[in-house]
Amino acid sequence: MDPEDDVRAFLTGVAGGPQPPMRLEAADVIERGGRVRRRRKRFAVAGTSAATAVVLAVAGFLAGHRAGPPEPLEPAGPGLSTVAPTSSSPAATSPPTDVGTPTAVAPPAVEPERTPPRAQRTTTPSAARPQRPPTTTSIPSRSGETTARDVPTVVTSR
Amino acid sequence: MISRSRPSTGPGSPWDGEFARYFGERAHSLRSTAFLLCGDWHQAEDLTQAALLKLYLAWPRLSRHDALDAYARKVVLRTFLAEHRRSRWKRERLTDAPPELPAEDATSDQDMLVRQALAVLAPKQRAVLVLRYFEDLSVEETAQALGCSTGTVKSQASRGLATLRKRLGPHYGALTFSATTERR
Repeated sequence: MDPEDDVRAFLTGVAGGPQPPMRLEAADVIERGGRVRRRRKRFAVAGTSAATAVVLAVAGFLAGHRAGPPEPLEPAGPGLSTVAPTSSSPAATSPPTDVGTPTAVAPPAVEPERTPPRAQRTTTPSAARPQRPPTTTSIPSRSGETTARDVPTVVTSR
Repeated sequence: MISRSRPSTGPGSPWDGEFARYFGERAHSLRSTAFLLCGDWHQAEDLTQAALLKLYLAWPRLSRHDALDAYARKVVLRTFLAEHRRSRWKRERLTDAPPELPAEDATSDQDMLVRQALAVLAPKQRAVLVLRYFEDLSVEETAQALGCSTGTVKSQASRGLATLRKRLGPHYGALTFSATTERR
């Protein structure tokens, strides 16, 4: 006899002998399975909700940081644009020294046909923000590059 | 099978009836396989329950219901191997009270000998022997069920048989003789 058949025979003998009654029932398995399925479903819903909330919170946080506060608008330095044309005039030398009087920068008296639009721009910041006239005039006056840039634009536009 | 009155746990699944029918047909043979694997009827029933629960949960995803037997056998096998692997990490409490002792079931001395010899084998060797010689699977099918190569199945079967023969010693001949006479 084949040794494999021997093993086959006594394995069958052991498993096929007297067996205790089966205590397990299909209803038990189905009931437990139903509980497991419901629990899994609840976890899935909770997990999805939590993930959605986290994603929304992160998106809101990032969006809020990306927008940020608007940068303070610097008023244009209009008075200095008119400095170049009036550089020859004696009044043009006065603005750097006289910080608090932007009206002295604009020389409407020298060239009245050119300066009116620019003079309006110089006066508007001071009119709109009366508490900050020194800063509006002093910044352009200190930086020489800005005045050099502004001068050709004004002249060419006219 | 499901007609037993129980507190309702909500709406049942549409595949409950199909599963209950399969349970009625196959639960006993699955328990026998589990018994040969673990050597204890109570543990075998636990294994069968765990495996059938997994089968129930996977039921709607099973595409081929004609291959359910192979799948269920595989689940039993994997559950047994996983339980055995996990036994090192089982959280068991030491106690001075004696544990519940199972009642001695009416088994012959020969069955006890075979059980003890099987218990000596490594779990995977036992699984190979059970699949090959109790479930009558081919080497390829056994390899597929265990997730290993055919060479591994052959070597494990050879080693398992040698250990079994060595363990049974002089009883081996008597066992085989009685087994063949019982079959006749």
